[in-house]
Amino acid sequence: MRLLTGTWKSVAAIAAATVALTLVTACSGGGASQQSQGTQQPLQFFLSGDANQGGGFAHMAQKYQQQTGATVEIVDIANADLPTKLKSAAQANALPAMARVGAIDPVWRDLTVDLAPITNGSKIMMKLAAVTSEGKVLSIPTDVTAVGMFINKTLFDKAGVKYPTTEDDIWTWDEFVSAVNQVKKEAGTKYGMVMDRSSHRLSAFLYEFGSTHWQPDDAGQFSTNDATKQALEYFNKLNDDSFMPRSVWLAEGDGNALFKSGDVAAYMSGSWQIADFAVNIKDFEWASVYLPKQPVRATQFGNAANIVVYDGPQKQQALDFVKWLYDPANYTELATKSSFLPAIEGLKVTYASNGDAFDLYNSEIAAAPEIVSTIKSQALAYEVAGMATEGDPVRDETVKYLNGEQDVDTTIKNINEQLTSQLGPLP
Amino acid sequence: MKALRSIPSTAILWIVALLYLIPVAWFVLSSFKPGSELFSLPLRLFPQDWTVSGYVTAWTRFDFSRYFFNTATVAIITTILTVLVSAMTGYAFAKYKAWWLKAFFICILATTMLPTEVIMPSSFIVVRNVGLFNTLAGIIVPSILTATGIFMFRQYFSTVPDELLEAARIDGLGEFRLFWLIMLPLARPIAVVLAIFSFQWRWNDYIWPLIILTDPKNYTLQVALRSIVGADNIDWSVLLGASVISLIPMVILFIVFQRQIVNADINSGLKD
Amino acid sequence: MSAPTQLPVATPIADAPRRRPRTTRRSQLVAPAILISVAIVLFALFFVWPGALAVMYSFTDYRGVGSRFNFIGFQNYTRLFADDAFYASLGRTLLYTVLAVPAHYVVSLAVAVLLTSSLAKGKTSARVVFFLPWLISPIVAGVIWRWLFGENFGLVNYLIAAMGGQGIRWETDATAALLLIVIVGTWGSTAFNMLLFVAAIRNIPRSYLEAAEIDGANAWQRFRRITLPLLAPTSFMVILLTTIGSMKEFAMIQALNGGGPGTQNMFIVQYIYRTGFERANIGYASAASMILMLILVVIALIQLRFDRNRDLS
Repeated sequence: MRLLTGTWKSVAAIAAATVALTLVTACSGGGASQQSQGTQQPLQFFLSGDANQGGGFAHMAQKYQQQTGATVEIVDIANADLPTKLKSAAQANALPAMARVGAIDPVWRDLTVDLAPITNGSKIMMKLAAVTSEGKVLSIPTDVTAVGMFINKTLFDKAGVKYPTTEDDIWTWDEFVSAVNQVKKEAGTKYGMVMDRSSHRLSAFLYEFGSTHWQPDDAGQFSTNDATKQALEYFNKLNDDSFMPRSVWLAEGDGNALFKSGDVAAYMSGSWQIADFAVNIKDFEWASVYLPKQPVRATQFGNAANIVVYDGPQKQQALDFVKWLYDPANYTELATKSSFLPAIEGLKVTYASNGDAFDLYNSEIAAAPEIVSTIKSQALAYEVAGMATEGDPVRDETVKYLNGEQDVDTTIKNINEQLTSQLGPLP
Repeated sequence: MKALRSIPSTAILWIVALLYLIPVAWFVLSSFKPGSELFSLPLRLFPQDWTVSGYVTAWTRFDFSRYFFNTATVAIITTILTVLVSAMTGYAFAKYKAWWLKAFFICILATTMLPTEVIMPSSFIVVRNVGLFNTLAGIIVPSILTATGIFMFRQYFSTVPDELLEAARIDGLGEFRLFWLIMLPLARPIAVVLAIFSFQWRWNDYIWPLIILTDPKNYTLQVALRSIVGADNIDWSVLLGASVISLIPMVILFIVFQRQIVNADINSGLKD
Repeated sequence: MSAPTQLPVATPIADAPRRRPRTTRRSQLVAPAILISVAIVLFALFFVWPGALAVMYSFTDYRGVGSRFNFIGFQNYTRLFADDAFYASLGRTLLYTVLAVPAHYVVSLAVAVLLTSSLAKGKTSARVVFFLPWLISPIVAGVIWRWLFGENFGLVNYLIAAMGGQGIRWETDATAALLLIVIVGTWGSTAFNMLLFVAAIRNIPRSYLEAAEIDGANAWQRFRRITLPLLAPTSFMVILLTTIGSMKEFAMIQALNGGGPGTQNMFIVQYIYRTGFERANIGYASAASMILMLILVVIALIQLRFDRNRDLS
């Protein structure tokens, strides 16, 4: 037998060195959190998807450094992982200076700094901000987003079908469906419309039928009105794999990709797609058009994200940065770079391209009915109180309905029950 | 004559290989397509408009050399420790008899039976309480124990004839020297396989390094890559380019080490 | 033809009288204890401790970090056993496992045999080709397969239509979707199992196979009577690991079709995720995970009974 002594001596040496190295690294850190940083280190700003959206925040951070010398470090984290990261950071006492989040997490809710000094006297849209009953401002919106309709203009023109271009002759859903069906026939496309698999988009659809969405009564029992049922039934009819492809809602098919393929006449998504389409659609002309009504003209708007500032030794510097960021001149620059709809009222933003599309969205938001704001503020109230449906009952139950697993009454009943048990009365 | 006889096997092998290759080829070729071409009909395998813009953006946006270094450091240290611990434990399970060994083996198997999502939040609490938060050891130590690795060595050692151990013991070799000097070298092929697996697992780790480490400069490759998956859309051409770049080191590693698995003269201890 | 009964081992003192050293018994207990010591510590820290927490949570209504919780006894479990969706997802998972395990096993064994046969050419490059799928991350793999098997715009349906057929409803038909999951799962995990088989096949002394060939056995007989039995430990491991892995499948399905159509292909881990973690019902999720673990332990114990004979002779 051969004993490879030489080789194994070196392996043993490596192993020993490894163990030693591990012990050394056990003591090393490189901690960059607020707590260990002190006031001299860069301010960490956790967010998601900035680079994808034009890099506006990175640009502003650079400008801030040029103007004040203070460094803001943009840390871009995958959207799905950001909440987990912040949760763990909170548990380990290692929160960053600030973050751009989708929702307030009860875990760190009480570790945030009051942003009232920034919002008082400003024109920031407070109806999209999370404010506690005592008046503490937990977060402020960074942008506004809204649901909207896109069409494949090339196909519409080829089929010779017109679409509304002014606010006076906005089409109904019936008119929209027949127009799109005609485009399908004349231009020979496979599908008429595709909608993202999201309760956010579906909500716009529901509002347009006169739905009052789901609201709790004083006892916390959720219910909705008849228009919701009509809307859902209409939606189910549309999802017949001819007008709308079933794969999107049933199997998480990519609606965005389908529209880009050029074989779908219309796409119900939202304002954030404008920047993407400007770069990535080259084969055909697209356009933003008015959402149909039946009979209500409505869009679901809200904000993609809010800024929060965390308590700690760097909080004053963080507040300074945020205040600087929301100065109208600076904020306009941010909105232009990242193609945001502004969250500050009365701002005129000139976009690099597709300005008319953005104007359309602004007019849709302005024309949105009261119910949209009401539901939005209810959602915010729950969020501020630390309650949320972490799943998406509206979407998930609708998916089951579309797949034929249950009927529409059961769907609505299930949604009522889940919202009631998870949320209860308004705080 | 042999050339003729090799045709059926070669043909089958390469037909199957081609089936496996097509999706990968699609992926690599798509990384050379501009964003607008990715979804347009009719679908094409080859790009119409060859471009490296995805790669360029990926390379400039991400500091690949730093992430390679971070990930490689963690992967190498963890792999060495993993192979050692798995070998020791697998050997004990295979070559010694005791009821508590069998029980512990089942316990080890049980570690594969809880979904990671369940274990992770609690593991985080453990790591924090033990004081390993924000240290490299915090991502290395929890990854050392792997039921798969232990299982691999157990099965492998179980095929080594007991007579070999008896002979060595009669020769006067103590248990540990027996393990170090004879058994471990014998298991070189399986050690290489486990090393490749372990390296790949650590190379793809993202959630754990993300939540344990606070300085983004210490993040691993996958953490950086996943940030391309934004809130509202995914920049496919960057994702594809970055994914291809991140695959290259693993492929090189495999090409270099796969010979160890196939050509190692395992029978050296069993001369007939 | 049976395998030779005596394994020739060339040691210089093969004829020496068999005398057990007296220290054997004790060292045979101490040595394994020390060998597994590191594993025990790691096991206790990173499995028992978190696992115990999970068990505890399963008896509470814990909603995640930072919230107060109450002990609610077996309520989570009774709710679990009363939920139809739980049984549906469990059944679907078992069905998938029954389909996937043979598929993974046969394909990776076949590939391993091809890669170690002396006849086939181009083995090294082929090995790398088979290894590549395993390297691709689930997000990217999901996208690739959607492009290939997309119901509306996928390449496969495009080719089928071009040849005059009708595209298969890979995404909206539950059975087709399940088959697709089996295919993709096999594609992705072949490398792992194949490498284990290759290492094991190489471990078979060439002398056996040569002796059999001289005795007139053809390739298939050699494989069936010598290679396969000697691969038994590895086969057992591959089957057990594949079973456990298939029962826990989650990420790949999410990338492929989100458990669709609708919820018809929701497997058990997705159920746990959906009803537990997504709704911050950590207690409920922990209870469901405990039941899953119990089922897997039972399966493992049953399979362990088959791993009896490890004696080469």
